[in-house]
Amino acid sequence: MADAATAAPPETEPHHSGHDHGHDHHEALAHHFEDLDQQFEAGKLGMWLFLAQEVLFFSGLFAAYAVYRWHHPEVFVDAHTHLNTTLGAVNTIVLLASSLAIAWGVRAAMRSDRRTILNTHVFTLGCAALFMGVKAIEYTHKWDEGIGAGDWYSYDPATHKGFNYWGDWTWGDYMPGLAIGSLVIGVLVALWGARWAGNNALVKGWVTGAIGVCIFSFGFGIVLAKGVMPTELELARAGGHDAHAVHDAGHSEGAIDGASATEASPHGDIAPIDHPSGEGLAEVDAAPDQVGEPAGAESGALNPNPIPRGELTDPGPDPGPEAPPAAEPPTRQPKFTEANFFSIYFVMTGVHAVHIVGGIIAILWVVGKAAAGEFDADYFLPVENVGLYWHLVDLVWIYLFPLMYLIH
Amino acid sequence: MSHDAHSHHITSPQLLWATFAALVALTLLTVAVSSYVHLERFPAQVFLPMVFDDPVDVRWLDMPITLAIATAKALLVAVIFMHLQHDKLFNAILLIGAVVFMVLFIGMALLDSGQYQPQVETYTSDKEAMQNP
Repeated sequence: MADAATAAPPETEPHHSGHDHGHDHHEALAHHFEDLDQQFEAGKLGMWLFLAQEVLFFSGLFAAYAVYRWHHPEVFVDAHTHLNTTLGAVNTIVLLASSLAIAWGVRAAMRSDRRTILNTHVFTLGCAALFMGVKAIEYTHKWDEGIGAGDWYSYDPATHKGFNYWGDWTWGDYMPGLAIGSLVIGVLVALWGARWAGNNALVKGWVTGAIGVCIFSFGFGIVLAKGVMPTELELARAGGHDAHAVHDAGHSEGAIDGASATEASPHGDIAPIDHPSGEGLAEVDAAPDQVGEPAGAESGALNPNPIPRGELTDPGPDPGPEAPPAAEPPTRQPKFTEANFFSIYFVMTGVHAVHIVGGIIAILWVVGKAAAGEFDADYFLPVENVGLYWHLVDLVWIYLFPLMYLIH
Repeated sequence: MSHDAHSHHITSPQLLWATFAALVALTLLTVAVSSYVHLERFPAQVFLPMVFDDPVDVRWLDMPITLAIATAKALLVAVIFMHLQHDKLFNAILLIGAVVFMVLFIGMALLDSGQYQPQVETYTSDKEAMQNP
């Protein structure tokens, strides 16, 4: 067999690569593989090993989620009310559609249908960018409420505001401009790419067009998400809060804590969690003298002692939950609060979003290679592998969506 | 070594669309269960009148239902979209192995997570006692 394999290439030297017989030199066949089959299987095995590694990588984040939800279910029940289920469901369906499209693209590659490979992959890119646009609205909406990861959490349930680290502007101010700019620039870039593609600059044209579709879809995602969930600024202009109106009914944290305690009791024997200083760790650090006072003491003022930005970088006061100030009452063991939930939320969805961006880059690469006509039924390994990666990103979101948005 | 040797199984359009439809349906189902089914007073007496007289609190079912639906979706994606069904068994074993170790990891972390809480509490109270004259 080895003889036959090594002897084969000289025999087929005169043939053209377009020849359909098995022993020809496909230009994509690397010299260390015997044939395209072996190359395909080896490459795909490597991809599956990578995907297994990705599963294990995400399992660390899911373990953090599982441990904290196991011990503090009431925090998760409370905190998820900040997440908009409709937006999460829309994003889920968008990702499922992109998965369908890329599976369709792999099918087209098996059938040597170059045009369909290109169309499905550009559609997938549009879905990915749409997802990111919706995510941008979700994130900035939370940042404007003072809900951030780690030390950037300064949400005050009484006013639905946090400390504004950025002075006099909010993220919501910039969203309309970002949406309109993305829509306009996306169309222009896509048209430019289409013109190039029409002038036979296929690779340049398709990649540029796909980038244009991405930019446009990002803007469309922002518009879509704002239609579903108006930003904080618009809510303030309208003079009310939709999702938080329940919490607003003349109560402060005390009422919410009571509700969460009663809700939590059926989940098991959880030690009663006290929220003496409201929901945020940031407030614990910034206002240690108020800890342990009745909740009404701070319900009136907006975040009575908002953390100055400089103090967060200052190593003097302990910023973490592990080491609260010393002058606290004995109930000051490390607590898990909504701030910690949103740290988990931002890290998990953020790492997933990084994978989306990586997928966008990989799919753009596939679009370029497909436009160059490199794929046919004999060789489509990159299409297959990028498709597998994209499905895995979809898989992670399939679990993230119910775990984050559908807690009750 | 001819063309037949590496003929990959080509998924039919009907199967792809059906899978997508099932995925969307399961997404809507999980949202509906979370939004409209009140597990804290599930009307079990309607379905099993000879067993239950009153609504039952079945909130412990929330997580199993959610994870079951998510896993059904994940299986659809893995088996059909990632075409594990016609792939080499070894690739499926790789994925299953990763999932098995993920379950082991999370399970062990959960089992162990409260293990040192008494020591932590002792430590913090000791430290506090030392810091307060």
